[in-house]
Amino acid sequence: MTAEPGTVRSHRRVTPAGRLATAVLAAGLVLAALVVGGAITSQVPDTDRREQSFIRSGGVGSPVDARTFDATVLGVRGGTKINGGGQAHDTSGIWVLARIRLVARAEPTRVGYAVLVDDRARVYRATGRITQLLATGGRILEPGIPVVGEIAFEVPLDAVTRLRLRLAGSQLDQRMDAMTECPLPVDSATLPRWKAQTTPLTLAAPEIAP
Amino acid sequence: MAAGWIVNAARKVPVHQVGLGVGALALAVSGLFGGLTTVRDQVPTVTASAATDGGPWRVTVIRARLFNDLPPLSLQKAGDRWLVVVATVEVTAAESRGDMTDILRVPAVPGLLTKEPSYVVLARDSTNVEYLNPGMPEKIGFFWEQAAGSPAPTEVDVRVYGKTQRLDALTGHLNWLDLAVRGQVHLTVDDQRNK
Repeated sequence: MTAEPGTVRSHRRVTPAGRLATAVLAAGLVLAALVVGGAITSQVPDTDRREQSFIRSGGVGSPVDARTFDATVLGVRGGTKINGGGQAHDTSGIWVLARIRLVARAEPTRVGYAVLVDDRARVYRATGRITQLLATGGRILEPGIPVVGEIAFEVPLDAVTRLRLRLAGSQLDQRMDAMTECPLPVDSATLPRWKAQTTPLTLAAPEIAP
Repeated sequence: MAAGWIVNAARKVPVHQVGLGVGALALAVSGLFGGLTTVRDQVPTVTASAATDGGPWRVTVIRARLFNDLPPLSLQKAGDRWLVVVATVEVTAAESRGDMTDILRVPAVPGLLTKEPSYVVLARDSTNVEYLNPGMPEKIGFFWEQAAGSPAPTEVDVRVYGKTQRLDALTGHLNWLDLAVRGQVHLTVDDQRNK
């Protein structure tokens, strides 16, 4: 026995008000999904933060582990000129020479990245105005053999008392790798002394430490 | 009634003819609003000694000069000459930058061996600029080698380029990208070859 078409009553009556309510509900769900998605996205770290270096900090005189080498800041000096390439190089700021001790941990390695960072997050690369081996990966460190030397930087005068030295192995890519950090011991009384230092500084060549 | 006639007529017209018709209509409307006007190179003109914001750097073009051989810089071909543009550059980005060869171009000068400068040299001590540090403006010389057979320029339009900081679509990192002209400086070239 079959019913005649159109004689079976619908289970739900579709009315204009019902259609409107369904549309409003759908729009509300889409909006809610967008809001929730946006809230989640805003809490997820961006690529730069997600892949940033692992900063390992230490004070002057303390070895800091950079995964492939240990770095120790031994001291710092500064002046208005530096020798290199047979001439003295002046600067609009000040020359800062950080003395460091490096020891490769397990295999031969290099320090390819050396920067100073100030309290405004400005980053100053080791200078290229003179030849320096320690900062540009030119000196290979053999495991267990400590090397002591200096790295030269050129920084503006307003940054000199709030500098941190950062070192890492790779010259080009420091993402998700260890990086050492050590504040440089420069106070406001040091800067006038350095500004009065007009005799050109000479960068200490890397040498095997006892 | 009219709507029905339009629908019936549209069903009889081949699709490609509809496409052509729509395209022609769009072109006509675009033409009415200037879409067919020849695009001119609109580079803002900057006066010499005025600073141009290039994104990661601020540039003030100062002067242009012509030189013969200038040791220790080496010409690729003996007899060529140097076109030198001197500018003050300050890195306004947060990190030392090593892309100084991107900053200036002199596209209208004939006979240059390269579009980018062959040397970028610090006026302070004539060392090559590897990195320029933030907050430390420096006077820099940009050197282009010009072939001996090309006419020596008496005037030059120097274009200052800039970059925009945005997320790199490939890596997702925030980076300075999209090298583009930010200004043009017209200079008289000071010929120093016989001085």
